[in-house]
Amino acid sequence: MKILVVDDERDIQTLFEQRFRKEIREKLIEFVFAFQGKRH
Amino acid sequence: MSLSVAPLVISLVIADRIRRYVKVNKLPLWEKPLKYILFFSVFLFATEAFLSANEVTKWIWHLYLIALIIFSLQQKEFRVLRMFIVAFVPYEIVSLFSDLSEVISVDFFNTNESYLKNATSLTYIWMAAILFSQNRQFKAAEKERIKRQQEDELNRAIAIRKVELEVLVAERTAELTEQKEELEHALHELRTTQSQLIQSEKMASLGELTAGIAHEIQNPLNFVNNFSEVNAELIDEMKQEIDKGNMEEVKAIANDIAMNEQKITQHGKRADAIVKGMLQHSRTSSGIKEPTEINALADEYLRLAYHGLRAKDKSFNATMKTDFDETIGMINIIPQDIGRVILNLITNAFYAVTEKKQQQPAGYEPTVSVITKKTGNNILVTVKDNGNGIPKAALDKIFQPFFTTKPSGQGTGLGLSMSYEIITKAHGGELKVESNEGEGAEFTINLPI
Repeated sequence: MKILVVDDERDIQTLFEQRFRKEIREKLIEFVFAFQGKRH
Repeated sequence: MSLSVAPLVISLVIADRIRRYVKVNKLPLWEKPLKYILFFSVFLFATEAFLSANEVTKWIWHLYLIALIIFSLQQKEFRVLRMFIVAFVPYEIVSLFSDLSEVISVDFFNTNESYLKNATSLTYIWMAAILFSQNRQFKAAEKERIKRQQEDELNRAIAIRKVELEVLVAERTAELTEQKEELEHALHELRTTQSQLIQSEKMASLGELTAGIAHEIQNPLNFVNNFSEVNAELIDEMKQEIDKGNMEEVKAIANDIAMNEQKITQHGKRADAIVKGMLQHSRTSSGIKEPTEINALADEYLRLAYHGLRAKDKSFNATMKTDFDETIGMINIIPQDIGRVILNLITNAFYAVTEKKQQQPAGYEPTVSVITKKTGNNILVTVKDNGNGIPKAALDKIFQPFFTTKPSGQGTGLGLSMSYEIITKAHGGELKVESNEGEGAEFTINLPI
């Protein structure tokens, strides 16, 4: 499963990656982060 | 034989003179004795005429006149009349001497009769001269007296008028004092009201901030909570890895925990700063300039204003543009006050774009820009919007206290006037506005470094 997380708080990435580290490790979920409308 | 006409006239003249004097000087006690003198003189003269007793009455006349003269001269109250009475003394002396010599030595009387007659004539002249001068003096005195009386009357009239005027003045003074007190009271009330209004303006802007602050504070708190939960999980996991003896993994987890700990502190501080900022905003300005990062301040208030409006109206949206000159660094300002000004300008800008958006929803992109720039010895902070702009007629008035274009009850009309005071008076800067009706408005704060 691929999830897009949109938020202007950059720390959201660290938080999500740690919170769901087991799921990420087991490749159950994949996160994509966006901090603004335009992708950089 | 002859009647004693001269003594009669003299006694009557003296009595009359004294009567007039008594009348003018108001000595009523003398009125009765004067009547007796008058009566006695007439009675004596009548007796003399009827009885033809000249030889006897002559001596009574002498005694009477001498008594009258001496008595008058002795009275302290008639001191002024002394010169007048003295006029008759020579006549009486000569007349007495003549009569006495006639009785004692007829020879002497006969030989000296012409001298005695001349002496009597002289006494008449003396009498006339003194009476004349006395009369003149008396008239002058009378004139003086009348003049004094008139003056007294005038003075009395003036005194009465003065009392009237004083009453008037006192009334007027009381009136003025009352008015002054009323005015002072009104002024006091006005001042109280003004300070209350200023306070309510601060509270109103605090209200605008509250929603923004709630949003702003929610984010760091979420991070604090989530990172600490994650850390608790990580510690459990670390224990398991220690049991397995997988030291590489243990180290990696420990690094993660340390990093999360940093995040917790960081976001805790962020929440702390927001609360402090809020307190600072509501607190009375310290009035002390301190080195402040104007870019951070502007950014903070832009976010607070935006989230404040978003919390009130979910449909609200606007593009925020910032263009900060990073070379500015720290400048000396009163942060609460400048923060208040920036917040006010940004809130106004958002209000303007929201209004325009409601009027023409299609194809309009509400935009608010905050730009800082360093030019020579000045820092420029510009807040620009693409709202409806300010009508030319209102442009002159927007910095006046209580001027507002918002519907009644929504604006205090103090925001811009307070901002103007803060920039010009407290910081010696300028607050300028440029606006094209329909195209937007641009406010520029110009602060000297």
